[in-house]
Amino acid sequence: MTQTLQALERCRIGIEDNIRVLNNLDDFYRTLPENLQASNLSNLSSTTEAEDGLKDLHATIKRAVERTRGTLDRVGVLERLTSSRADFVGPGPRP
Amino acid sequence: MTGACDVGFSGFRSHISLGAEKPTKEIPSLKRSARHYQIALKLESTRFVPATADEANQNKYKTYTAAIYHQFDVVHGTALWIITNPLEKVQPEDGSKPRPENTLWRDLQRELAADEYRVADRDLAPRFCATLDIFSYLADWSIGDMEFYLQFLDETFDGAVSQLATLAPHIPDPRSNSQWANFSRPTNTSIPLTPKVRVAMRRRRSLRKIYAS
Repeated sequence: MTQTLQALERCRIGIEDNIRVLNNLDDFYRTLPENLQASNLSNLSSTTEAEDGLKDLHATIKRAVERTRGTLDRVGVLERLTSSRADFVGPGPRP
Repeated sequence: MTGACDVGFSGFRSHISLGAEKPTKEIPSLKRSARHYQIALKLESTRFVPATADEANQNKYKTYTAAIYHQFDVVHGTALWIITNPLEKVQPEDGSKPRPENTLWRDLQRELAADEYRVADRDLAPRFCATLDIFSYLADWSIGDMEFYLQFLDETFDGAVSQLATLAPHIPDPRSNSQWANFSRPTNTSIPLTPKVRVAMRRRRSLRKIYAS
């Protein structure tokens, strides 16, 4: 039981970190065209191909974050469920 | 305290150097313009590991942590990637001895092989898009088999609880609704219904409603 609860906690920490990383990555590439433009390097991001590539990346990250957030919700429900079960059953028989 | 380290979130770091503030760093012969951006990030992925025939292990889930560093020169379009991932023993197709391999890097190369022309393109935009494709792949990779792993944990926990419930017969089987319906108060007065148990039962009922809805 303790192992399952610890595994769930590790899952939650990993999932939250992944969401933060993906959101930061999304923000970075959202602001990149502005930064390039400010440095007179807009020839990179202003092409149609680059714009499409950035749109695809944002869509992929958004989808990944949504799915990851869904698993995070499930971890929350499981944590509540398992802790209530663990409370009820107790620590188990003594060895 | 001087020189204190940042103990906050360090899973993502980025640095943009687009101005020509460091002209001495420019090396045209190596296609380095000193105008670049850098990204360093860490991603985790929980994946299903099937049991191998020669090893006596069972199917299991494993969490892989990948550290990724990327640098892109915005003038020449040259990219640098460092992708670290724990090595795995992989059985070669020719049946020889298993050897350690960075499976993330291997899969990434396979994914990029279809668009190899973009990486080698002379234009800047296709090269830039190739780097975006890699990040798209990594974002998908991070999802992994987490949903199945949670299902596995739920079932494992259910099994452990049922086992304990069998050992302690006054506690109803958590998977049996009929036993819970009949379980109002233990007939054996030596086992009092403690407040802790009452709270657990209330929580369980509310969670059952969530699942039922």
